[in-house]
Amino acid sequence: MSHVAKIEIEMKDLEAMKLACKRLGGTFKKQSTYEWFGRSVGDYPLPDGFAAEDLGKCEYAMRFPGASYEIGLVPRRDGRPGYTLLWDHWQSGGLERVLGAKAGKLVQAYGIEAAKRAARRAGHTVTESKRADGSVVLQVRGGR
Amino acid sequence: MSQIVEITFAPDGSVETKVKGGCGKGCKDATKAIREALGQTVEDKELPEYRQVAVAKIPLAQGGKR
Repeated sequence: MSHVAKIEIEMKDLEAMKLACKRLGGTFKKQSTYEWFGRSVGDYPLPDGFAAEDLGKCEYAMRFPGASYEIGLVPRRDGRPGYTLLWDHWQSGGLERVLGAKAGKLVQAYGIEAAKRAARRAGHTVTESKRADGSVVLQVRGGR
Repeated sequence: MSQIVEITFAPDGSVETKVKGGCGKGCKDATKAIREALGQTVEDKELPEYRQVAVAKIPLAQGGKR
């Protein structure tokens, strides 16, 4: 039998997030605010546990080429481990154009780096390949 | 661990892990470690072997008698 599982990513590994940022040509900094419109107009849903007054505040911020706004990284408030992303989806900020809807490309890059780090920590070998549809495949084998 | 664990990361942020064939202890350990590092498993299912599916379809594809 083959075994297939779907995983919902939890961003728990800050080092993997730094590597994900680098992979996308971005910068990762410890800072208490991130660049955004500056005032909530309620045009996109916020993560569970967050309100409009939390926007603009963060523990770390990421900046990407082609986007004038930044993404803030904050601890989750929904009872799950790890961090969540706070960011302004407004078109002129450029983040959705650079990272896709729901910052999918950043979540993808984080997952790749987190999986590589976990596999290597456990002594396994990882090879990476890219598909035409933009998916990235890791093959993990061997080890102790 | 001779088996390969394959992890596919789509550009929309979705993730799927796949283990083809039997999975020994090393393979199970690797799969578990990676799944835990990535997050929460939301769907987990076993599929028939690809080879078995292919063999079952050959007679019909060749126009064999039913």
